[in-house]
Amino acid sequence: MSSTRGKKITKTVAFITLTIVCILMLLPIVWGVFGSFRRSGDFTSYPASFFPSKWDAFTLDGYRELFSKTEYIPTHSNEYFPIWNWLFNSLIVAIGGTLLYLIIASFAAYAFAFLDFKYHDKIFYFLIGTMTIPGIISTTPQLINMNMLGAYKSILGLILPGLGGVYGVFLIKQFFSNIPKDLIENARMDGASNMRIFFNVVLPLGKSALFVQGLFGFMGAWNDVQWAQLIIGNAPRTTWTLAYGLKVISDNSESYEATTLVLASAVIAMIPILIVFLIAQSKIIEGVASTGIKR
Amino acid sequence: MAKQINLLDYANKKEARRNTARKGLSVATFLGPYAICFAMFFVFPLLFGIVIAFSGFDGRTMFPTSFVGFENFRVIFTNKVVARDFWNSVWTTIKFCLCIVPLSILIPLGLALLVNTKCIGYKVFRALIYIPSIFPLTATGLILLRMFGYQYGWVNNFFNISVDWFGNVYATWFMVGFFCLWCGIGGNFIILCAGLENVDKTLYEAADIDGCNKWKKFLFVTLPGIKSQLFLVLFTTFIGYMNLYGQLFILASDNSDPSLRSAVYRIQNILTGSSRGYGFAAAMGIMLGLITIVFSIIQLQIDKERKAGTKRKDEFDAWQKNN
Amino acid sequence: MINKKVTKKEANEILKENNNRLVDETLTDFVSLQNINKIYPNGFQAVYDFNLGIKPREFVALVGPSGCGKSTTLRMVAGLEEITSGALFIDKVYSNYLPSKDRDIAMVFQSYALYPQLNVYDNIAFGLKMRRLPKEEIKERVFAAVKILKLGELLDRKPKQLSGGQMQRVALGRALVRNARVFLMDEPLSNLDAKLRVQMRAEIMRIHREAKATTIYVTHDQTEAMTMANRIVIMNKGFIQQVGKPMDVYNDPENLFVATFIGSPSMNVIKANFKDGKVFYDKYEFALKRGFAKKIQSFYEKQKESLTLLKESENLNDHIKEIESANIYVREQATFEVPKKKWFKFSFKKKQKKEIDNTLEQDDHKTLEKYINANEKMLSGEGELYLGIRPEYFYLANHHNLEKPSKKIDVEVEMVELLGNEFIIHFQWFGNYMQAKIIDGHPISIGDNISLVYDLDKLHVFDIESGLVIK
Repeated sequence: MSSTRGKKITKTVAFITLTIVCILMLLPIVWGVFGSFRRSGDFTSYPASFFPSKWDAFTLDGYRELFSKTEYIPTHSNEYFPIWNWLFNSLIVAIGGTLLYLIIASFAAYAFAFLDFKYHDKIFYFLIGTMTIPGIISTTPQLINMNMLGAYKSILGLILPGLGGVYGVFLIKQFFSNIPKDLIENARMDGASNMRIFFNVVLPLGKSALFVQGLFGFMGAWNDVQWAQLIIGNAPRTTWTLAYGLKVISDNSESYEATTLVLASAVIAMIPILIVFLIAQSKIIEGVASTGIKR
Repeated sequence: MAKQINLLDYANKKEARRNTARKGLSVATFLGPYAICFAMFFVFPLLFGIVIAFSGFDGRTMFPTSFVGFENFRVIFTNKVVARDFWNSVWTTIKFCLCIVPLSILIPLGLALLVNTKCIGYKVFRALIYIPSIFPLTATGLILLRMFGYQYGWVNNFFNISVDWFGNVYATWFMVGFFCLWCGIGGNFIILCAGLENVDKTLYEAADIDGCNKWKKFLFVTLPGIKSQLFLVLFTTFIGYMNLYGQLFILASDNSDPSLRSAVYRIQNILTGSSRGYGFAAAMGIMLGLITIVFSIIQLQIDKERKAGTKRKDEFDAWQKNN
Repeated sequence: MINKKVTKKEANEILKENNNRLVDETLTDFVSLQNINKIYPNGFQAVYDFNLGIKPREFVALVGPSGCGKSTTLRMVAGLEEITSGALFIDKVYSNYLPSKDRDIAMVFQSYALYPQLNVYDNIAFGLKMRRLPKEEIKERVFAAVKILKLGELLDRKPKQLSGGQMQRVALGRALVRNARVFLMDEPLSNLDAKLRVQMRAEIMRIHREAKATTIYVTHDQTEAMTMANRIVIMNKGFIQQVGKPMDVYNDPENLFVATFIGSPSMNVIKANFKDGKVFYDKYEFALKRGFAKKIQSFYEKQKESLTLLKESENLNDHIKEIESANIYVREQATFEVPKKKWFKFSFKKKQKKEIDNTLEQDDHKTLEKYINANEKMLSGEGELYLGIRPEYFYLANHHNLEKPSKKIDVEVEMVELLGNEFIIHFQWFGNYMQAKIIDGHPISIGDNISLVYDLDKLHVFDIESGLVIK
């Protein structure tokens, strides 16, 4: 049968193609990372060089400059980048918002998956249906909503809208539904209250769902620019998030000398999310492997 | 004398009532927080949005000031400047969607098929393809802006060409599309990978015995096997790109060419601009939303399971009579 | 003969003439497997030296526990697995390198493997469509099969609207329309409930007859094999244990594995002592047939010869494995899967493997020594043996028709299974857990003390080390 040899050829072709594709995918990022360490003059003198052209073109100047612009100087008001504030704000919104949402959503998911209340399936389908409504319809009113709640121009305005999201509830509920009902019924017979069951039975088994939603939530909050622009765009710079601040840095650094600075800021924004991604990935795979509950 | 009641009935009913109360409390504690958030941050804005669209509102006051009926909508359709800007951007968005959505599905599909061969290091490849999509668009967009810079960008200098990637309108659209694909295919890719893994392997063997070659196997086993994932991906990708904003904003905001604006971009402009025409923005949002919904419904109709008829059965009955 | 030496030019010419088919006219079997081996890339051997000739229109069942190699063998015939070494002939044509679709075979899978997006008609017609048959002929064939399988009402339905049994019939239909000469079935009924299984067995046998096909049927259920097949091939751990007609395999098992695998409930096996030509346990003597002691002697002499030959053998490990595969079949054995290798552990494993190989070699010789010593012991006139007697050959001492009953035994009933007219009595004898199947009217309860006799003609004697039957 020629199939085994055919399979080998297919695999080799796949391997080569994938290698090329991955190199292309990572090319800009690698360039960017290396670029953040280049002397700014290097760009104008050796623009065709992918890496810093010589050893002494390596420098941390870009980062130093970036972190030096954290003070407000009236004459250079455009170059005021309070980057520590931005990092802090982004972290608060991403971590805090995600945690809050996880709690709220997993509670709701528990209710849909295990509490047998009237119309629970119809309500759930309704929720799924709302996922099809394009978000742009709510953008304007949401702004006014935040204003009314006093959350305009504040970090709160970044966190609150996400708490009404349906996607997380849907995802976690699907996951919870895969837990064998026997375990839950057993716990109930032992007299456990719903809270008990939630924390001691469902949560340990449904951990991967929380990691997946946590990752998505963190990503969404960390990377958001559109909503940030609306809510805190007019606020003092100290309330901005990192993702939004990046755009402003780029706009105000047109020259090529400032490239290093801009690239450094990009790298700073990329590192935390990368770390979170790698951690979440391993936890998710762990979780999926260990919850292979077979009946 | 007090009214006589049946002891058994009373005990049963009392316990039943207590149970319902307990259950209700449970549901309230678990569902309550989310229900409140959902109502405050989803339902309310949605309904409010419809109200705003029908009112005159310029942001100087907390609430809409007047009820103007369909005035806002009329302006969007008839006012020369507003209408031209908005509807052009809608048309631009649709055109862009039609180009980019097929690519956003076919490219990840191809990559997923390659990864599904389980060649050496396929897990690494899978992660690497997904990675660009996790970063903030501003960060990756910045890198692109510098890397493709006209004068000192690496691309122009390394390949010795002279393309104004962000000045020329067509080049900019190309860059926007490239940006969308580069950072956008990760999600679809992972979904399609998962779908491919779940295709029943024995089906391929049966197809082998039935005499299918590689291409036929793809047509008859692989594609039908991932049909639900394909539809999910098509659905969500389309909605996503109808709302194109970030990628365009980051790469093209300093390019003043009016054709480089998507529908959401226009709306966002109104909301951040000084004129604060909230009523218009809301109305535009609704229009865009409706258009998207129409397209979505069309897609759903195509996906619907058609009911089986009795064509073959009738043929068989006829044949049986003769045999 | 095709196994001749030719020049490259001649070879190409011959292949061209015969449309890439090499034919061996001397074969009389319809399907012929000669010295088939299957070795996986990681070194694991699934099938050892498989030899079988299947006559036209025969229904052959491959039976054995999970992992015995029966499915692998079937898939090699189908063309889904590559044949590592050996020759496969289908209808006299050498088929090792032929792709599945060129082999004139049709296959039914355990999981039905129906195309979920096609309706029943299109599923059945699919293979014919791929072979570009004219529409009219496809229709004729499909409807003929539909008539046989009574699928008329379901023609427009998709697989997800069918029950398990219906799906299996569609899979059968798909195989039927091909008009292939060989049907291959891989545990097709395992996913159905018991009653449906019995019905479908009859269906499959009917189709086999009407289609005048040669069928190879894989199953782990020995009852299924016994009821359906003309001949059974019993496999264990990659080795063929015995080939024969169902009744022959039942009455004359060649080794312990066949004896304990075939038959439900399993054959009872007791260890007994052998000395001075007598077989006994404690004070109870087992009366053997006349001249049996001499048979025992000649058996062990022959064994001595073959064991001595093994000393020089190159693949001693394979032979040891073969001997071990003939041992008692214990139901509910756990099979451990070989863990998947990780790429960075590769070099590590290679070193380990070499060390393991060396120790295995030494172990093999030690095992061989053990066999030879045990053999010598038996030749010297004393040792141990396994005796086997099927539960159905036990009778109540006061209620039997045997001409030559055995000495009776008194036992206490530990458990009784009531099967309507039959009882399966569990008891202990000399510390061995045994079962007896009694067909009787008398109710027997737990705790009763009863006397049993057994049919001496049906007593089997086995060698302990090799598990082979002594006759």
